[in-house]
Amino acid sequence: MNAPTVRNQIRQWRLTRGDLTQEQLAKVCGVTRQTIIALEGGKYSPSLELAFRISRALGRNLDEVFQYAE
Amino acid sequence: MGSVSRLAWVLLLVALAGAVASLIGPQERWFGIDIGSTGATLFGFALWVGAKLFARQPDRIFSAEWALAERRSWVGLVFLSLIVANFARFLWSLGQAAEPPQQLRQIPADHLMWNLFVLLISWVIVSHTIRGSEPEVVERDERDLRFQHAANRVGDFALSAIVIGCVIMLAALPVERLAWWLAPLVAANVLIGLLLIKSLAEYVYLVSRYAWERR
Repeated sequence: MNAPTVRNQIRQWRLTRGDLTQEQLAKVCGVTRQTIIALEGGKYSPSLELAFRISRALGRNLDEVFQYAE
Repeated sequence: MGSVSRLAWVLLLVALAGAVASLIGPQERWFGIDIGSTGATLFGFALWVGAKLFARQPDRIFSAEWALAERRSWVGLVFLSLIVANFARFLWSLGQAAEPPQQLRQIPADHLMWNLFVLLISWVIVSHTIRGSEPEVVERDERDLRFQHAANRVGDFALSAIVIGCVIMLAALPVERLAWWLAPLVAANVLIGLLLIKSLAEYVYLVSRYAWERR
């Protein structure tokens, strides 16, 4: 089980929105809250499609939310 | 201890007693009652009542951090383990026969079929019930599917390893015993057993993977 090479700032951007909970973000993106928890904890790398959905839900560009770690 | 907790313990004890009893019989009878079938029925009933009870308060039995797919993996692991135990016991009793069965009606499978019926129905009901009443719950997302694909690969590997093990075992058997194991109906039951073990390996991997990712 390799560590994900995609880093993200989901938690930071979600908290700047103030009222957006993990549950709400999960609902908007069509995933479980546990997947959002795993993403924020850096334990899971999302598919490209999910990455776009999360970025859109947070109102940010993809590269503001996700970065590829060399 | 609250009334819900007390009831949970009672149901758990009843389910355990039923699961143990389901592995006994049909030869074992008390006052004419088949202990095995009664145990399996008791087990299914206890689980069903428990599932109905906790469907209203799912966090009492499963951690809130567990996704629905993970909860279902645990349920699947429990039920499939019992199915495998029942099937292993059936294969063992089949292996005691002097001659391999030549026709389906010669296979003493009534007890096994009843147990499997009760376990499968209970499995479906419990899996459906733990979903809860929330209409918009996501049952399985891409992370769950990714874990499932990895579990399928583990299952394939387990199946390959067991098939190779069986081939080596058959090659080492004396000729007279080899004929017994290669009888069509015996071989068919062994193949079913292999598929059950493959599924069991998948469930073991799934629950381990979820636990590993959550640590």
